[in-house]
Amino acid sequence: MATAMIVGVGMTRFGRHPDKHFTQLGAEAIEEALADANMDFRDIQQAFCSRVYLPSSTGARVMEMMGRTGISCPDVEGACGAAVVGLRQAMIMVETGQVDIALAFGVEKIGKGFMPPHILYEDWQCQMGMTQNPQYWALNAMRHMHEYGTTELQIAEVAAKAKRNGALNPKAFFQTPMSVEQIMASTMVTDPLRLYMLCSPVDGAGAAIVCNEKIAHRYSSQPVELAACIHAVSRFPLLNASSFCATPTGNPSVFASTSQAAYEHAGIGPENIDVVEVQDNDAFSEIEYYEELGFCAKGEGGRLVDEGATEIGGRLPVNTSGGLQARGEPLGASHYGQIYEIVKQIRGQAGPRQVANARVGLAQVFGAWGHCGVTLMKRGW
Amino acid sequence: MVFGTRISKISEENAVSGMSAMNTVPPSGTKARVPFRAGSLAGDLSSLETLRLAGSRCRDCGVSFLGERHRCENCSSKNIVHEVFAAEGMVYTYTIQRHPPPQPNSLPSPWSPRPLAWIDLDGNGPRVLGPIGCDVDEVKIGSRVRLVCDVSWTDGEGHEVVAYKFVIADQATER
Repeated sequence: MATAMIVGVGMTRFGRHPDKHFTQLGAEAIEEALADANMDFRDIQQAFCSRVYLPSSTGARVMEMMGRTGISCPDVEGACGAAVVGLRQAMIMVETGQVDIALAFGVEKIGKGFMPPHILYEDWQCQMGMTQNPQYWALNAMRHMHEYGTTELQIAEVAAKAKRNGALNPKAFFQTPMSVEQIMASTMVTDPLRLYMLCSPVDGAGAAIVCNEKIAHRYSSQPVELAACIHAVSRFPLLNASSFCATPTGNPSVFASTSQAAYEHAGIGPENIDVVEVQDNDAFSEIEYYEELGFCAKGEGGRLVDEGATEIGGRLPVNTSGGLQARGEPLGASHYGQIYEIVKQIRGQAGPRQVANARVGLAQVFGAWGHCGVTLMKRGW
Repeated sequence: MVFGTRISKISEENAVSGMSAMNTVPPSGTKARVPFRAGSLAGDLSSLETLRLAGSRCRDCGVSFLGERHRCENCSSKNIVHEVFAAEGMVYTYTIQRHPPPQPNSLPSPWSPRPLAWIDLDGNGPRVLGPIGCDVDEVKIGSRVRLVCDVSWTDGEGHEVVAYKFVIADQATER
């Protein structure tokens, strides 16, 4: 099998784009990725478009903007994990030699506030009011605090880190630093989670160009190897979202099993990773992912926060981009925002957010109904 | 519908076993009632206090679920029996919904903050999500709760939909 390299990345600023049609957002991200790879759109042999709330054939509509070159461009969906599904398909097609160059991109346009529920939940769940996404993470947070002594202050510290990093990222939705005190004073949404501990669903697009290693040098002097890209739907139970019931079974979480599969595929362990992006829908979930992805033992996520380990400059910087909390979450494009950050970090192009000597990075994404993706990237030159 | 051998005691005592809540004849003067989800309530829909959450249990792995399944969601086995679950349980974890959930919903307006919890039903039953009808400072992890069913909204076809919530049962027990 061939090795797949990322030779170009692009993303719009994530945020509110009321004046731009979604096809424009998609095209903007693709144009940046093409320029990054010094590549012509007519070199793309296959594309995959990820979206959640946008209409059928969003990908084909974006092709209308980029030029109808006759390639395949299906939409692929997996809730907030939609983008990893497309990236994985692009990687597999390059690895198996079906094509040499594939484009994986995602785009979303969504309104402010809680996400419209009917696309994700049955009517009875809506009618009973059990469709307020942050509540699922809050339920996990409350149990974690009970079992392990994790504190609201630790959760607020993670939120403050996200805002601090986001302020250094011109592509982030939220670019204003915020103190722990300000976060703790923000309105309680669903105990123990406060407003400024939550991510915002926003508009935006992101893209990555995946290329066979044999020709990667034509497009980039710094290709980033896709060492693993794993997607899975959670085993039972799934406390996080959408399930009707979650009877305990002792099964590993989808975060633990997906990351483990990625580590095994790439021959890279959590101890080898220099920079990380995780699905911080909320500040608590980031703490949970420290544990589930194997960066510390179960229950010790709060300790990592206390040590400052996951700050830029710490031993394992997490969400240097600002994460979902500050960068924002355009569902179908979200993972490409993570990929963009990790690629820039590995190339040494992350500016004031740069992690010294970052060679290996991990990006993890998670969506309703249990879609989990873990992508491992490493220096490919 | 025939329940399997592992019908909970509570259902036998209340003589509701073997009766799905679907297609219950409504008492005269009321609209036809339907459960919030087919196969997830057992009992007589015209007699709300008889109702229990119902579902399936896997005979291979032992895990239980809301609703009638033909395979186990955990292990994919087809060795499934239907079961009526206990009305009481314990709060595994909870949150307080401080703001109204997105529309559409059939909840009171203006909004009053309410607890929402994952509840472990007694008798090795499923862990289910549900609101708790109590003050926000009355609930904690380990609280004992009891099922209450009520007509909660009217669906697009004019049926009264019977849904559930929990209420605090008695002294809380830490665990």
